[in-house]
Amino acid sequence: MIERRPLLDLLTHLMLLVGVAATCFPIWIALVASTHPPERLSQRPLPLWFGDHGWETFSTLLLTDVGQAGGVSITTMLLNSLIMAVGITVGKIAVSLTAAYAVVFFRFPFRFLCFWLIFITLMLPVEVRILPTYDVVAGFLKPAQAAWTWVEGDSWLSRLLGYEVVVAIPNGLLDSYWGLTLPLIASATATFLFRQIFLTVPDELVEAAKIDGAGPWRFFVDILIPLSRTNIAALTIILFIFGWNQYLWPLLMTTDVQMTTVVMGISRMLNTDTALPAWNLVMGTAILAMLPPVIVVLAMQKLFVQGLTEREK
Amino acid sequence: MAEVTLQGLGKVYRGGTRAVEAVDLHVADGEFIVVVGPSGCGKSTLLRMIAGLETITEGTLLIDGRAVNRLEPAERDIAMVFQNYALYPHMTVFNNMAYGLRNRGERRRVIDSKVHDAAEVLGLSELLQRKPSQLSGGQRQRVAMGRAIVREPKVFLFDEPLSNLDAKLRVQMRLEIKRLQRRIGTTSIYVTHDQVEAMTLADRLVAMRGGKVEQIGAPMELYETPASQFVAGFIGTPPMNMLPARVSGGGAYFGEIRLTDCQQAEGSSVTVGIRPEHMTVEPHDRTPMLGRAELIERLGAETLVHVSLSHPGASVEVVVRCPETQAPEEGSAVSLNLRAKRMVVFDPDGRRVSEVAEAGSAEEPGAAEPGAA
Repeated sequence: MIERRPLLDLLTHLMLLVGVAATCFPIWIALVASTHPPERLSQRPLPLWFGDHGWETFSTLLLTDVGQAGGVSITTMLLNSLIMAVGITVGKIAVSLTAAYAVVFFRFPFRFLCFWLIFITLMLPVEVRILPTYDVVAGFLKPAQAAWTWVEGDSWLSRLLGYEVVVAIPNGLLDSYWGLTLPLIASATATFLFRQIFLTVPDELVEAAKIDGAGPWRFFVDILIPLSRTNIAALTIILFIFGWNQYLWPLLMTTDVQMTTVVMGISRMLNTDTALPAWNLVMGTAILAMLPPVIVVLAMQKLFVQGLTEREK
Repeated sequence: MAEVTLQGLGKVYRGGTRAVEAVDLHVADGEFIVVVGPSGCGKSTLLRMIAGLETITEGTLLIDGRAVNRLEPAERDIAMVFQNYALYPHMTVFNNMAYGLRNRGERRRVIDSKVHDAAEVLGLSELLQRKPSQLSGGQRQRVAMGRAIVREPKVFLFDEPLSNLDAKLRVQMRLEIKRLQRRIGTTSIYVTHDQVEAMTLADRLVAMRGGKVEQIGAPMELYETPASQFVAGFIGTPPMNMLPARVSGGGAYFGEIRLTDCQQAEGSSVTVGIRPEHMTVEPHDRTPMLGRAELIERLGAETLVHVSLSHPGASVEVVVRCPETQAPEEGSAVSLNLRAKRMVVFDPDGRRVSEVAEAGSAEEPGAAEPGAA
C-alpha cells in the first residue's frame, strides 16, 4: 500500500533523518576527535570539525607500538581480531552446515536427541558457561599429554628419527588462536537456521539428485550449499561482527599481550591510572576497529539483500 | 531400450501399511505404459519403487532381465520426470541437463553435444543459459524432460508430469511427450490420475485401485470391456452409466424393463453399465425407458443430456452423448434407446461378468431396444 500524503512523507523523512543522525553522530565525533591533539580533546566544547593532527595519530597507531595499549602495535591487535573473527565465522558456518545437513537429510539413531542437544545450547551463551569453558580450554591438551607420556611417544619418536627429541605439549589452549575461536564456534543458532532452510528443500529435488547420480557429498556441495548461499552471506555478516566484538572471552583467556584483540586494546587504552587517556589514539583505534566489519557488510550486502527479497522456486 | 518386468512387486511400510500389492507386469521394449488411478491408489509408490526411491519390500523388479531391487536409483539407468519438475534452481538450463552426465564422469565434449542435441529436440536451444526461475511452466517441463533424455536411460519414468500445467499447455505437452517417445522409442512408464492423458498416451494401461492392479490392457480394451465397475467409472468422461438391475429368467431387469441377457443367479442384483454414446434419446413413449431430460450440456462437437430415469423401485441419472441436432428440450420427457450389444454387466462385487453382452443375442435385444434400427 502506498499512500500519497506529503505531510506523512515529510514526517517519515524527518524520522529517518533523526535515526541516521543518532547513528552517525558518535562516529563523526570519533573520526573528528582522532584528528586533534589530546590536549584539545580535554577542553570543552568538543570539536565538530577535523583538526590537523590526524596524520600523527594514525601514523602513531599503525607504525609504532602503542604504550597505552600495553606495548602492542594496533596492526597486531587488528590481525588478532581478524584471525579470531574469521575463525569463528568460517568454523561456525562449516560446523553448522554439516550438522544441519546430518540432522535434516540422514536417518540415524538418536537423531532427535542430537538435534535437541544442539538446540539446548542456545540457552547457554559463552557468558553463562565462561568458567567451565575456561577450565576446559585451559586443560584441553592434558589428555593428549597423558596419552603421549603413556605411549612413551618421545622415545619412540627419537628412535624413529635417530636423534633425541622432546615433544612439549602445552596444558591447554590458553593464549592461542585455537583457544580464542573454538569455544565460540560451538553454538546452535546457525545450526538451527540452516536446519530450517534445509527443511524447505523439496523432497523431489533430493530425489532428482539421487537419480542424477549425486551422492551425499555431491548433493551437499553442488546443490545444498549453492541453494543456501544468501543465508550463508547473511550469517557471515552476523558472525563476523559477533566474533570481532568479542571482549569478555579474549580478556579472560589471554595473558600474552601479543594475543590482545583490538576491542581489548581500546579498553586497555582507556584504563590509565596516571594520565588522562589519549583520546585521539582511542578514537583513532575505534575508527580502525570499525573498518573490517564495515568492509564485510559492504561485500556481503548484495547477497544479503538478495536473500531477503528473492524467492527462488 | 529395455524390458521391465515386475514380479509380484509389493510395498509394505514399516508401520504395516500396505501401499502396493503384488503387481505383475511385463513392459516390452519401447512400450509406453500408463499407470492410472485415483490419488492414493499406490501408483506413485509403484513408480518410485521402480525408480529406486522407495525400497521394494516384496517381489522382484527386473530391468533387461537383471534384478535391480537393491541398486541405487542412479545405477538402475532410469530417468524420472517429476510433477513439480524438480529442477535445480541455482543452475542454468544447460547445467540442469548436464548434471547427471557430469556425475557419471562423461567427457565435456560428449556432454556438450548431448545437451545441445536434446535442447534442439525440445526447442530449448535459446534458453540454455537461463535459470529455471526465468522460464515458463511449459519450458520448465521441457527442461525436466531434457534432463531425462540426455542420459539416454533404459527407462523413462513420469510422475504426473503435466498436472502442474494449465489445461491448454497440458494438451500440447501431452502431444509432445507422445511424439518424443515415438521418436526415441524408450520404454516409458507414466503415472497419472488424468484418464484423458492415460487414454491418449498409453500403448497399454494399468488401472490401479487401493494398491492393487484392477486391469491391464490397451486403452480401448479398458474402455470397451472394463474388468470392473471401478475401471468403467474411472475411464471415460463422462463415465460409464450404471443401472442397477435384478436378474430374472436369464435377463437383467431395470425395474420392469429387460436390459440384456444375464446368466447370474436368479434374483441377484447386478449392475449394468453402458457408455453415454451407446444410448440415444428418443421422443417420449418410443421406448419403455422413460425419463426426463434434466440438464443439457452443449460442448460443441457433442451434447450431453442428463436424463433422470424414474422407475418403480429405482431412480437413477444417466448421461447420454448425442449430436446437437438430436438434443431434446431441457425438462422435457424423453425415452432412451440402449444398445444391448454394448452393455457390460457387473456382478454384485463389481467384477465384470465375462462376455455376457456378446453372448446375449444382439438381434433380439430385449425390451430396451424396440425402436432401434
